[in-house]
Amino acid sequence: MILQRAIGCRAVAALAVAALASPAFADKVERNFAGSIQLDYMAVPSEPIGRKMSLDAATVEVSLKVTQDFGDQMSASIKLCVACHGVEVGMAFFDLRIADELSFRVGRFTPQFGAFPIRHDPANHRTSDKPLPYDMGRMLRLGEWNMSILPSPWVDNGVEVSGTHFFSEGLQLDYAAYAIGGPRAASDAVDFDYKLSRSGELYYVDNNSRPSIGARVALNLIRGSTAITAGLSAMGGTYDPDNKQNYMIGGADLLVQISRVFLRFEYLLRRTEMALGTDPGARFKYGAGASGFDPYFLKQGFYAELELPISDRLDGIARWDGLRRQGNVLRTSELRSDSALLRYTLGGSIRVRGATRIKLSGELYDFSDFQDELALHVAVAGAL
Amino acid sequence: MKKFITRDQRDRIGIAAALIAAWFGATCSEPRNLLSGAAPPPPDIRRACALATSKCSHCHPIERVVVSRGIGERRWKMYVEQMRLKPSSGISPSEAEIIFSCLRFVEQTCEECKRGRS
Repeated sequence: MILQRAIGCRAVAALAVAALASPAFADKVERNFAGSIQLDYMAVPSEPIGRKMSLDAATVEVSLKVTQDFGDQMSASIKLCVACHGVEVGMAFFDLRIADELSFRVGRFTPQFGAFPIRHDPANHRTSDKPLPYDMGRMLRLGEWNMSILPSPWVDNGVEVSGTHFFSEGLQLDYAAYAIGGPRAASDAVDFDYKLSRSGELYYVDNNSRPSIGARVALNLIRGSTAITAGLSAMGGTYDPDNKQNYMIGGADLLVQISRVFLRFEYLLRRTEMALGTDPGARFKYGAGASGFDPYFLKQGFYAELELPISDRLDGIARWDGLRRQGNVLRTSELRSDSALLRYTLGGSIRVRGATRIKLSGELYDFSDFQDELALHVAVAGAL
Repeated sequence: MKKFITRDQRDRIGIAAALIAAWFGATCSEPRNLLSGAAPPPPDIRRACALATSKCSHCHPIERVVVSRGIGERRWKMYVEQMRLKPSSGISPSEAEIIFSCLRFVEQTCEECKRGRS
């Protein structure tokens, strides 16, 4: 029954996209269609079987998006994504714009948090994978680390109020505030369970009767072909079905664009409350401190990225990113109370024809708890 | 069953093939920009297209715009407005008009800019 409903929903979504994109419909209304694809092959030459610690080898990401304007103030968008998790609705929302300073978004969307998510589409960033704070399943040791801090794109149901205001041609302020279902986990959890956020078996509804709330503010300084953007983001709420375990995510980002050269910095941290259970001594690896068991762990992440054109067709990229987790861990975990990961990436993105690019990158992983690893990526990405 | 090539060798062959393909691809055709195929632009349009290139590449590669040329002025108007309203777009209302003037010029003067050919 649930499977039938899930298939039915996807079929309806697919038909909606097909109908909106059909020539007959196109004669009557204005709409935009956009799509992108990336086929990436990741090799882990430092391991005989990379699959034991990663989703290596070939992965494909496809997205198809249709946006329809209903006059100047209202629009609707729907986006289908095909990736490792199968077919998902990446966005399905309506926008109502009262003024530049006041817009409402209702439906299923990616709330505004940080700077990277707006570029999460593989056709919009130069590397094959995402920075570690936003990684969604492509990092090595993803199981041990339970992925990143806020996997991108984070897609959720809710409502968002946002706006932008130009104080002058060179000074722009953006804001956004939202309420969404938020991350999920089962009862007695010690961290998010990302699979539950995209599981139709539990319905695409809030799991604990309480929304998570968040906000972002960003200031943009623009002068000619130079732009500086600085932003602050926050999100918080509870994530377990009993509405007991809370979390708080904060972020700061800085982008400096000088013509075609981009320098990006971003820092995220997440404080997450764990369920101690009835016998925390048996459950956790480390014993109680002077004030008992600490139910929180702190996860921090950052990236610094330089993107610069080498020729008309070739862009080079250098990235340094990392994760750090501090706090107690389950007895079964291979992490310690203070574990860290640093990653060094060098890559290039070559424009082949049209909007088709070949991406090449090498990544050196420096783990505090495991041996260092090397990952190589070769990808072809395209967009229309 | 005996393996003829090891996994490491397969990885190396795959990466080498991709590098060769990338090199061929990068050298087999001329690079294209917003004004490729359009009539010789007046100075204000050239400046407008330079602004469009700078602003658009803030969030995505400029070739996403180049390959979409030929969709018509009305759709460009809609696109530019959507992009202007993206968070931290850096595109003011007056700059949106300038960017649109570039795209309108391309639509009016580029004969080869039919969808799928750009």
